[in-house]
Parts: sequence; structure tokens; C-alpha cells
Amino acid sequence: MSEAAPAPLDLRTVLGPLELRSPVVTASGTFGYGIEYDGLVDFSRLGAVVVKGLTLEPREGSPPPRICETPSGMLNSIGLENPGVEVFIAEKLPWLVERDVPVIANLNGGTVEEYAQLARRLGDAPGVVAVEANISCPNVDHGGMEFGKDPAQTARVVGAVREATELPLIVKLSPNVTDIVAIARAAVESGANVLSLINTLLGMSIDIFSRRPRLARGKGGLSGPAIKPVAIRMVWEVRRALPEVPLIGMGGILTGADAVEFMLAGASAVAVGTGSFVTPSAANQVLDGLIEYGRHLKLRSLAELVGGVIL
Amino acid sequence: MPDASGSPPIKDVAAALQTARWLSPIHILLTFRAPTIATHAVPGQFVHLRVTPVGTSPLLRRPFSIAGTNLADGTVRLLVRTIGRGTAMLGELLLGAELPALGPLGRGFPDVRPDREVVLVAGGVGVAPLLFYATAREHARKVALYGAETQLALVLADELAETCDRLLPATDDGTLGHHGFVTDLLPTALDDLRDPVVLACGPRPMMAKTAEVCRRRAVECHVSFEAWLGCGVGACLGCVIPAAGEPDRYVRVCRDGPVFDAEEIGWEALR
Repeated sequence: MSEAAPAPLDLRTVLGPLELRSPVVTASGTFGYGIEYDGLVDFSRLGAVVVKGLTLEPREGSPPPRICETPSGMLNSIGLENPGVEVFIAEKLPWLVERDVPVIANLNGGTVEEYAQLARRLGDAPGVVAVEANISCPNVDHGGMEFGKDPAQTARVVGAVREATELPLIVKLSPNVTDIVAIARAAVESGANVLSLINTLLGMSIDIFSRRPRLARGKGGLSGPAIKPVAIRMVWEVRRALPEVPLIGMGGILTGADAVEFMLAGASAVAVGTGSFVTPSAANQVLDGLIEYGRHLKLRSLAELVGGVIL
Repeated sequence: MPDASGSPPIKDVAAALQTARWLSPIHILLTFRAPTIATHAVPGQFVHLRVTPVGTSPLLRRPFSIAGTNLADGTVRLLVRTIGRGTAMLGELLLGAELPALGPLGRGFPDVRPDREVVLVAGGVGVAPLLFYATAREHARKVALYGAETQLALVLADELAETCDRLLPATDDGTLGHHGFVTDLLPTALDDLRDPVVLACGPRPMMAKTAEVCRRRAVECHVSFEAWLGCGVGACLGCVIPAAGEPDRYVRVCRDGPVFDAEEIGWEALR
């Protein structure tokens, strides 16, 4: 190796007890169970696939229309449609395991006990490297975001999941709260190893000709570049309050530059969500952009960026 | 149609605009060079097109049924009705412009035996996949019923007439053909045929009526749906429509369709 050759950039990403091969993962609900993107993305360059939110029993989801476009974003109210955890383990998970893709299972319960049952069931499943407790789904009538709006409720759910599994525990936070730091602190004190933020912002859009909401459920979750500044601010606030807690940042990431911004705000890893709809290989392109940025600055590891915003 | 590796030949390619021809004040026929899509596409499949190669607005892609392919020059034809901001941007493209195009996507029309007679029921830009079908597939008889608001909006009717044995137009304002719904023409058309198959694409009320007529007569019917899509590949579950059978069960337009056997659809629940 000549002297001029750049030192290899270390992409390994340490999130407490969870080590990923790359800092870029897919956001739950935007990447199905991976197989939908077969041939369109290089799975070996994904840190993990965070699969579509799972429940104990199958769920049919919300009535359509479920999505609509908004300025630089979109609203969705899918309503956690999924085949249930048993079908996931039997029919969806093996495809990812065969391809050596680390899987993060996203858990959704209507009760604290349901979260714990899901964690127990997935703790034994091959290929599942971590669970992500989703206490922030805005599109269901019971559970979901209701748990993530209150520190005491957050502590109950997170504590129960912590008891139920030894896998690394990620907790996905809602931005639809007054003080996200209070929720983050409750989650960490109850056993969360990693925090994911942010889930979608609650929004609404109305068709002015029919005078009806453009989503059948009325409200939905806003995602895409429109929410990026909100997400950056929340990642930064949580990082400042809890500097030792590893964060997965998400909200409108389409490019490497977006990911760098999240890392500077305090995220150790990033998730690409709506970006995969715009460009199926977006997660790969985000990693390319991160690598380019890291090489330009002659970094040894992308971890050097984390929390590097200059105030 | 899987390739040798068994995975579907869906690709996200940079499609270069070759030709753009205005067919009416709001209809434009675009030809993009996209050889892998042209090679693998079957009638009824679609392309998920970014209307701008950069920027975040509009954010999501727009789905277009493939109106035809040319294997010699590797092009696909897309029919666009410029009704919103995204489609208006497609009308302003310069020749040579390259747009990300994902395809071919979805389940196309089924294989129907060539010795069978088919009726194509087209409403508005729903003509696109049916024109591709009529061009690509041989049948004992092909009868096309094609409706739109007005004569000017019956775009590509000449091409449809050339590829079918018979074309019966209908317009809402009576400027050409039957004065009324295209579905008014269906019962008589079916009377003239032996064990026909009906293929329909157009507004949902048109397809619902078509399915109803076919069901009453026990005629095989396939319909091609349009919907707002997120991913286009079956991941986001944003484009679902009600399925037949149990209530609150849904199918994905992008991956389970866009072409469905009419018996698969929960028509009563469709809104």
C-alpha cells in the first residue's frame, strides 16, 4: 500500500450492546420484510433491515386511502397491517436470514403484556439481532403512540420488554410530545439500550373539492424531508441531555449529506425511510455519501462525526 | 417473468426522453429509452417514474401504465394526462432528459388463449395498457369500447382501431359515438361474442359497472387499477384496495395488481 492510499474508513457502528456493519439501516414500515426490494438494493451494505411493525395477531390495517403526498413529504395511515409475528417468523424472516441480513424486529402492542410477549417470541428467532419497541405509532386506536406520550407509560412498556428479552433493546420515540427528553430518559432508565427518533409527525390534509380528509382515517403520520429539521432538533436535544445513549436518527434522509447532519446532531446510526420510496437504493446511496464525506475529512471512523455539531 | 437467477427483472434505470407528442391540450405521449423495461414488460405492467431527477417536490414517484414497447430501439411509451403538478412537469421535459424509472412493475394481464374473443373496455387514459395489450396479443376477435369526456379526449383511438377488429367510441357530451357511458355499450358487444374475456381499465365506477355486467353474465373479467403509490414494490402498503370475501381485507394495487380478476375485488367497499 502506497503512502498516498487513504486509510480504510471503518464503517462498523457500535450502539451499546449492538454492533452493526454499517451505520445505515432501513426504517420500519418503509422496507417491508426486505424481499420487496430484492434486486434493487445491496443488502450487504445495510447495517440492518428494520422490518415492518409486528403485532401478535395479524392486522388488516386502515381503510384506504392510506397515503397522500404533501410538500416535500407524505402522510400515511397504514394502521400496522402485518401478518402477525408467527407468520413473520415462519415465512418472512428466513429470506433475510438466508442472505445474512441482520434483522431488527419492530414490536407493537395494544397492552404492555403484548409487547413483552412479542419480545419473548422474537428473542428466540434466528437472525433477529435486536428488538425495537415502537411506542410511537400514530395510526392505531389502542397502544402505539399512547404509550410514548407519557414517561410513566413509557417506563412500563420498556421495563416489561427489558424483562422479556436479552436482545439489545431499541425504543422508537414519537415526536408528538412536548418534551422528548423526558420520554427518552424514562425509556433509558427502564432498560432501553438505544433510542430511535423520530417516528412520524401527526398531520392532516384536506381535499378542498370534496371537503374530505385525504386519508380515510383523517389524521396520519408525516414523513419525508419536510420533517427533517424537527428530527435534527430532537436528536440534538436528546443527545445533549443523554450523551451516553446511542441514537438512531431518522426523518427525511435522502442523501449522505442528510445523514451527516443527523450524525453531527448526535446520531450514531441513521435510518432511511420514505427515501426508499423515492429511490429504492436510497439506503446504499446514503452510505456512499457518508463514505465520501468521511474520506474527504480523512476520518478513520464515521463515529468521529457523532455529536460533532459546533455550537 | 423471472430471469436466470430467479429474481424479477425489476430495475431502477435512468430513462431518457426520446419523443414527446401532445395528443390533446392535456394529453401527452412520451417515449423513454429504457431497454430492460421494454424487454421484460408485459401488457398491464407499469413504470414508477420520478418526474424530476433532483429535488424533493414533488417527492413521490408517479405510476404510469406502459402503453407500448419498441424492442428494436428499447423504448417504452407512457400516456400522461397533465392534471397535477407532477404530470405538468412531465409535459415540460426537454428531449434527452433522464428520469429515474422503476419497472416493469406489478402483475399484468393474464395469458388469454389466442382462440378466445376479447372485449377491451377503456375509459380515458385507461386506454394505455389496453392499447399495449391489443398491440402485443393476438385473438380470434378483439372488440374495443373506448369512452372519454369528449372526442378530443379519445386519444390514441386511431391506434386502438388499427389493432382491434372493431372500435366503438362513447363520449359524455356526444361529440363522437355513443352519447353516454362506455359501459352502456358492453351488453350488446357481449351478445355478439362467444365465451368472451373482458379486460378493462378506467375510472373506478366504470370498472365497477363492467365487473357487474360481466358477473351477471358469468363472463371472465380482468380490471386494471390506478392508485396513489408510495414504494411501487409492495413494501409500504399504501395503495391497497378492498379485497373480495372477508370485510377489511385488502390487496396491494402495486404488487398484487394492478390487474386483478374482477372476482378478487371487494366492489361494495371500494370508495
